[in-house]
Amino acid sequence: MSLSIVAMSVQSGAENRPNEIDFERLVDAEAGRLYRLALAIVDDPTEAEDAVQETMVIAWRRWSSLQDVSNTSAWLTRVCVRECIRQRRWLRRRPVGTGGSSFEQGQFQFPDVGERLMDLHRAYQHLSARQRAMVTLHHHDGFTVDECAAFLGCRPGTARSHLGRAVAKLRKELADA
Amino acid sequence: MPDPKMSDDELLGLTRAYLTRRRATPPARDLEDNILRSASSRRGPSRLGTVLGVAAVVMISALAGAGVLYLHAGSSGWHIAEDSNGANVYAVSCVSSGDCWAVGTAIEHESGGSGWSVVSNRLPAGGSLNGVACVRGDVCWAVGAVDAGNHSQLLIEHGVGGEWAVVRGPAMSTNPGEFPEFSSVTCVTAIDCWAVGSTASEGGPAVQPLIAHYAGAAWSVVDGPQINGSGGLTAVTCVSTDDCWAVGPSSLIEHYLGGSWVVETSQGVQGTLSAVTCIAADSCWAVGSTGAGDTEQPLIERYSTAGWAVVPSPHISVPNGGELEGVACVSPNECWAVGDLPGIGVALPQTLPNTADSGPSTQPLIERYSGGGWTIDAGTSSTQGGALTGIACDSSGACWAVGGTLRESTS
Repeated sequence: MSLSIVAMSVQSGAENRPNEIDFERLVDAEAGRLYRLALAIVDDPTEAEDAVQETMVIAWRRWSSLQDVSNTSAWLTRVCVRECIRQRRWLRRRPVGTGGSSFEQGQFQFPDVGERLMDLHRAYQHLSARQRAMVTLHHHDGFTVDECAAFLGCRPGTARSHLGRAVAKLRKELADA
Repeated sequence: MPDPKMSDDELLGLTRAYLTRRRATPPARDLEDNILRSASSRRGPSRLGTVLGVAAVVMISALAGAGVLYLHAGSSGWHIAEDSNGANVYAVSCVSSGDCWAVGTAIEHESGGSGWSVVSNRLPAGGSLNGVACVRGDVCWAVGAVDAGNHSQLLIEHGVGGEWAVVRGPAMSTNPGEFPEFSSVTCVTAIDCWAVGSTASEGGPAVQPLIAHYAGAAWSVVDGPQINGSGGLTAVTCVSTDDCWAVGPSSLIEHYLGGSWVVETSQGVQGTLSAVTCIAADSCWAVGSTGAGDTEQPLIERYSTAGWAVVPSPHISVPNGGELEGVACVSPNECWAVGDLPGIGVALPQTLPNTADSGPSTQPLIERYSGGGWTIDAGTSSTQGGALTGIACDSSGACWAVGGTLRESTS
């Protein structure tokens, strides 16, 4: 994925309203992908849906400008990742027991989860939202560290640090399992 | 029980398998309907149109940090000096009044109020510069790394008379999975510079500090102290040729004194230190953030004859907290620290606009030390999102803070 950067000028106002049919097409094309990404970061279906919903609301509001962004998927990915991280900040303040992993709650159990995957799942719970974002964007989706840094809004070195710590933590938790 | 000696490939393969399965979960059937209802019910006039009351010109960038944000502090306070496009800028160095250099994915220059201009955007593919230090207006060093996909290489650029060129860095491994990177550079003289950063192994447990020295001929890696666990260095500054400080995550503080680097201890809370500056041998500041990941608060530490200790930082009494990434001093009683307040729903207690309805826009955070303590500065109320990663003050007392507009800004 290229990191193309596009700037444009628009006049704020009523003419920025999206064509609803085009917006529905965007939702249809991107909502599932963003949901799966969000789920890997926040590890909660409700939070993931909230993150995708907020992402698409922002896309609606910035519709006119978004039409001239050369890489809409990258733009949406960045907004979604940061929304996931923001949500995790809020959720840390919730009382214990109001969130948690749906995986362990049995709502989305894999039919053939092996012991190693279950151990990995438990280890994954110990990662921060940024670490989860780095692991899933870099190791699963194949984005470069520089691209991940752009999504997270941090320096490449910071992104690499999140990644290194994430893998180290997974290794430690697996060893302790 | 998993094998604790699992190889990197095995661990990453297992992780990918887990994520593939985890992400196979489909969204709820009504997600798309909910999105369409939510979007159509929450539309309205843009925030800029509301706040400014004019048909504001909005610049939208495709990715985080795409807009370069320059904030200038002079006698009239902070204001946006320029908001260009096409590069990310992470650090700035000023050596005399109105003569500053900024680096990131390009090298930019400002002299005498003429405005910022790109001097060089021909960094190696995948290259970014994280730190810059100028000895004079026409002699600078910039450091960073080149991301080569499965590994990285150190990147050092030397600017002389406005002409920049890549120079050979210290010998480092270029094996796949090895990621050395410089984060910061400082110079005592044109032939006495230090660069710090980290080395990381993909899949490996340890990020280790990296220290290099330039003594007039070539850059060479210098042995640093062994540290417990994982940690790199993010910033370095020198008081004199034999007295330097470097800081990093986990409140790592290293001191160069008497010809070698040693780990110093800090009294107080642990956190990530991102920047350091010294006014004198017994007066330094280090800033960063503390908190368990998602509840960050700015962290400020001060070095005096009694050692390093945490000093009170203004508490960000709104959700999401904040972090500091740059610090610079004009005088012993006037220092600035800059960073960002991540996420939406953040309203500075002073004059920045509430962004609760504006999406995940990060706001610049500016704090000021005026002798009595640190306070949050109002910054610039016209900034519509952004994060500040570096600051430098010139000899006239004017300061430049640089960073990125994360989503939009007025122009």
